[in-house]
Amino acid sequence: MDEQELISQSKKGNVEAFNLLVEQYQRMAYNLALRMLGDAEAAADASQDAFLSAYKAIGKFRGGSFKSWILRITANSCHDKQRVAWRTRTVSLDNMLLGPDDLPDNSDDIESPEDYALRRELGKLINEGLTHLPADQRLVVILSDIQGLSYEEVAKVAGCSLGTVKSRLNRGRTRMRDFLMQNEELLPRKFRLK
Amino acid sequence: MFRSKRGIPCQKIQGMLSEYIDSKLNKADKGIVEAHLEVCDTCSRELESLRMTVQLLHSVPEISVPRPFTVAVPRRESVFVPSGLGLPRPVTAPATIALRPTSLRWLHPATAVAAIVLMLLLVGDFVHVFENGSGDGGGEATSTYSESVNPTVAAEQQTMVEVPGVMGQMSLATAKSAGYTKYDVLPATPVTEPLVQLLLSPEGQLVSITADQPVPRVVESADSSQDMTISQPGEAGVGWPLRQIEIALGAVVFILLVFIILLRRRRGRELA
Repeated sequence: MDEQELISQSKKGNVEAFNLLVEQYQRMAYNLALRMLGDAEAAADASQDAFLSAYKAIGKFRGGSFKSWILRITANSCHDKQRVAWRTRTVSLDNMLLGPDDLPDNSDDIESPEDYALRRELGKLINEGLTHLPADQRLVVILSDIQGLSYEEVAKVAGCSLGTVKSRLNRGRTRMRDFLMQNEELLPRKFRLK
Repeated sequence: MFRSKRGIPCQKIQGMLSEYIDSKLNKADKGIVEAHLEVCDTCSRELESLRMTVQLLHSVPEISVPRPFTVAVPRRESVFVPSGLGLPRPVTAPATIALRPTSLRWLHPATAVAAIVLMLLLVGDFVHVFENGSGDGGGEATSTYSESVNPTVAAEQQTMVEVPGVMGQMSLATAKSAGYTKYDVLPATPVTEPLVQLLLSPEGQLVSITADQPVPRVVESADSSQDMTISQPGEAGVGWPLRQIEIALGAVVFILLVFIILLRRRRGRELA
């Protein structure tokens, strides 16, 4: 079944068809939530909520890009979580994903313990830098630079104009750059910015 | 603000660097930026640092999902269960989802019907639509019983009358003995506790026993007795348990309303 057929079946209440769509997009949705929230457990909850909401609202899906639609629901779910986290201030940096797979690995060499530690610090730094961005800029930076969406797709997910996407992306990247420069000693040499 | 030799503000150029990195600038703007970068070290460093930042962000790998976020196949009662909650299965599905479909469509009409019936009963009760008589008639609320007493003495002494032109009340026997022929019979006050107990003695005499005078007192010989019907006036009867029905209906309406409110709150929470 292609995507349109799966969507059509899902609208008729076919849960198996919907689950095929979930399996197709859950990784992308989870990664968006993870980068937005900076917390693995909160990201899983937000993703679960997003797919549950999507299942209930699938009848209102009017066509177009399902990927943009599901990512937009995920982004909204993250905003809800952020509002709760803002009230309770419970997001902990310790809960950020720090596994080795989370970090950039551009070396074919066997990684030394020092490099492994550096990668962990770098991954933590990137997550922390993202959480320091305003939510609207963070969403655009994640979608564009981490998830590789086009400007048009980002505009659909963020629900704003193309010009706004460009503006937010520029400001978000600049802020991120400034944050990384403040912590340059934690960056690998090849990523030193000065 | 920095300005290049051509006079283009650096701020404007730096605002275009992000698009320049993504190759999203049109040919004209791209030419302007490149010309500026050739002569402006500040913007060149800015471009380089932004390019590094983007490269760093591009290198962030995708993470595998910690658990599947699929939705469980609905079982009985149209319940579906999110599977990725990290809890032992089966997970209880949100109640609103189970209750939302067709199973509770009767709830609102049933509540409305019960409320309307209750209102009709209350209004009818208020304007005495359901009464069988005006207070001295039949009905179950009026108790009828027979006693073997002489109406000429006992009944006339118990019956209170009001004589026109004379203040106060008097018994029927007194009014007759006084020679009054016109009088209005007053409704007797309901007796909740028998003040006088009439008993038939073994000798066939009617005796009375009162609380303050426990010695039997001869009232009348039993052989002169005849049946007398004494009605207990007061509230008119409706012939069926109106109050109980009203209370039961009120309880039903209350329960249904509470149920609806709880359902709506849950649904609101779910949608939120």
